[in-house]
Amino acid sequence: MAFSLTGILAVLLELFRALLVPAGILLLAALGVAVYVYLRRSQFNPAPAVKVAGAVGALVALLVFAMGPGFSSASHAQITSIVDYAALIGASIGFGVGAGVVIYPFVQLMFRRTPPAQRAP
Amino acid sequence: MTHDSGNNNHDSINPGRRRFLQATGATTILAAAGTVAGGALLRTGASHALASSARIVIVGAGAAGISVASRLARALDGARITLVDPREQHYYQPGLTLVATGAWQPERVIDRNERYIPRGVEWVRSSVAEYDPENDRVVTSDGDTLDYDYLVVATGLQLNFADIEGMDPALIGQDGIACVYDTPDHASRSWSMIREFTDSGGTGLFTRAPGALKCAGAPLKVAMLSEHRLQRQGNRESADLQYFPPGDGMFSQPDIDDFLKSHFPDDRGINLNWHHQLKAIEPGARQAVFNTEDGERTVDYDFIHVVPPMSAPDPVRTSDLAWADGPFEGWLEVDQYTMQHRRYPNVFGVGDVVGTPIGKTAASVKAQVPVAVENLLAVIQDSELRGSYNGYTSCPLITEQGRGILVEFDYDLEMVPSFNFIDPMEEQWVPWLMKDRMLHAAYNAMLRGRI
Repeated sequence: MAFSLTGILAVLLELFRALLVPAGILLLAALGVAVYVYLRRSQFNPAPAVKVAGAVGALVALLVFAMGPGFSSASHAQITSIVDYAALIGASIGFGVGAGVVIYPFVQLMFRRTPPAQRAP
Repeated sequence: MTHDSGNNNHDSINPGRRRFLQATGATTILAAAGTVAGGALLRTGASHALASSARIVIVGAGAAGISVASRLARALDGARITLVDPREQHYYQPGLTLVATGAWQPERVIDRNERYIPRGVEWVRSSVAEYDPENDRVVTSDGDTLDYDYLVVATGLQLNFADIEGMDPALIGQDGIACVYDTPDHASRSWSMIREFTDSGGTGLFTRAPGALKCAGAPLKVAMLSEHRLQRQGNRESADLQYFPPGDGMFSQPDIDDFLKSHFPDDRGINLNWHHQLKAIEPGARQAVFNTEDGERTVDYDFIHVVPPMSAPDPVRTSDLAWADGPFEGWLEVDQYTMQHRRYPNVFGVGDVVGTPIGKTAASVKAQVPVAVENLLAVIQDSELRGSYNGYTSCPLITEQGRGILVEFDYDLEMVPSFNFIDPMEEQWVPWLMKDRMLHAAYNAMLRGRI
């Protein structure tokens, strides 16, 4: 049976329906912070923030990989086929990237450029 | 030029700045995409709705009835759509197997019909006691008459526990008796029996009624999940498991039938007893009586999973809408491809109640409903029926808690996998993951007429 793109989105909408409001608030907050950071980009240092957000994303990906089977009341011993591993790895990467992207604007707020020292008169 | 200048052109953006722009841009795009997609799905307007003053009565607010109501409400402008069903609660029946084997809590399968019945659809909280297709009307159990121009029968089916001597649904959860079907309460009480049996061992009987069943994979799943729990509890050696098919097959799809015929005895140690139909049960003595080709056979048990015979609900079965004879006698007489009644063209049927060669699953409903609605709209417009149901059905055949096989097939009993990369003959985690986490969402999307 074929699934259309809108059909898949409809299923995802139902899957996360209970989380839509908090997830929407989080995304809007991230979006707002991202816009704020972008408009004042001269005040921020992106490199360390990207590293921290990337590290958080990697940590989330590792956690999903480690805990994914247990989340479905299964165990790693039951992950045997290529499809199983592809699904688990894909979910890990997806959640990791998602977490990194969402957390990045907030992390960026912590990394401002240090203003140059004032020269003594 | 300093890299914090606000006037840099694209070529002069340094790598750090580029990462910065990419990161904030990605966040913005993701949020915008989510908003657009969510908005499109939440929109309920009927911009291309067909103007009609038709009176449409849908009998049954289960998966099929609500799905039909959702689609018709969106497709028609001005029609009077009436949904008839007394039930306030909505049960996600595909999850009952998981409740009965302890994987899910019962609350997870209990919902409310009002959450899914679309605005503009009149909900009559009653059941239909009498069908009068000659006069285009139904009579409710309250004595009210509902006239219609078009009728959709989506009542589901009834379980005939009384066909088994000594059996009563009140016995489920006592004296080792379980039955996964029908309600979360049955499933929950069954779990108490399965837990007791798998903790202590003994003789476990797994029956299967003859004839058409809803979710015909459920008796198999209960047997395999019970066996798996015995293994996990370290009690497998203390249990004797017996499966009782009423004929000489276990599953309608031949490849899966072959798989199960070797998997049960060879891999799971579950003995197969062909041509056994449960005739009677003696709860106090914990004995089951089977009709076999060699006469009656009485078997002692510590645990028994009872699967009662099923039929169309009595008001349908005894009406002129039912097949009068043949293999589908008593079920709703629809054309197996168009879902239109074979003698009353303004009547359609969907779901468990229909008399077709295959398909008493939620997956069948998902495939039938768009066809039935498309063809009903064609009848309203007096145009040719183009929708055709190919018999698609699906069974995530759970072989243990954590693994299963995803079986999808059609009227020709050919495998028709939705996802070619999932081998329908290999036990995998992904089908279990779908069953455990995804299919309930797909079911709810179906109720809303989105898939």
